[in-house]
Amino acid sequence: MATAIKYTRPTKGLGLSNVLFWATVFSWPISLIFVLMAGDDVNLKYSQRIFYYHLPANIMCFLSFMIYFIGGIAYWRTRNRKWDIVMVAGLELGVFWAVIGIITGAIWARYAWGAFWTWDPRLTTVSIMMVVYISGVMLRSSVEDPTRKAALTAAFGIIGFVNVPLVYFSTRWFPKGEHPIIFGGDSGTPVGLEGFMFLTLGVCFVAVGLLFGWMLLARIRLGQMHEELQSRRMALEGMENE
Amino acid sequence: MANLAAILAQTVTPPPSQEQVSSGLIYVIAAYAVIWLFIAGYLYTIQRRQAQLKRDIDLLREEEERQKQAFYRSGQ
Repeated sequence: MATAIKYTRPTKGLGLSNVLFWATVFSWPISLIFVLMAGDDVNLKYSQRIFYYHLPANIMCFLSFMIYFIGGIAYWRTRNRKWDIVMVAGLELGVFWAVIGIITGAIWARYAWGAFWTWDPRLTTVSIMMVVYISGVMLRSSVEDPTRKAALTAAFGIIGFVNVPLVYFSTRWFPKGEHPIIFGGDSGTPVGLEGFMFLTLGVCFVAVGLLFGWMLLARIRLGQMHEELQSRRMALEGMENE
Repeated sequence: MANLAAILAQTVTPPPSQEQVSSGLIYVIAAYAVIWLFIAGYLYTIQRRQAQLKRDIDLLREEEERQKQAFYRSGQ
């Protein structure tokens, strides 16, 4: 993670951020071609194509909250401000991908289940997770002192992460729900997709993953700039007082 | 006015056909539009916030330089 912070500094050459940006630019059209070429599902017909981005978006959401969780633990251990930057990046991106996952899921549900929303175990646990993390964002913005703000964010990240495995395993622990299980379901195969569909999902995972990596670095860079602004302001105030 | 209304009516996107709805195509278009709009919106806000911070940092840097020069001048 510390390496990631180092690599977010603006570079004009072949920096990690630039590599991720160009890889994203190339991979997204490729993923769209794969999605167009993938066959229709027998029951879900064309709507099945929503899954190719819905699923990676949700996995990126889990990954973001995991980054937030790791940043929270690291902050509690070290009290280093750089972990606060990582935490905020994880929190913001987690909420962002969760919103995409929820909206695309609702659109798909309208076709598959006939309703945008049902109180299915997966959807219920996701909404609880969102309430927890959005209240984390609100709580953070209500505190002025940077040290207190970071400590509160870290505590929220550690406690709030309890929800994440609950969301992931909700379809397995409460099998009466309507949400399909893609990984390790009842189909007897590790993934409930076959052949080209599975390959398409993999390509979409790569495209979304690259975008996620680039966004994470951009958000960390934003946090670093904010930190620099604060320290310059304090230094200037010190100079004015002398 | 009636002519304008007629022209505007022609520019309105027609509702999806029954076939588009039954195949799920319209839902795919809606979901992908949401994905693209959200990503574009988020990237725009990140870029805007970075540009704002850069401007503020540059202003503070200039102010710092001014204060340093004033300090050296007063010392001389």
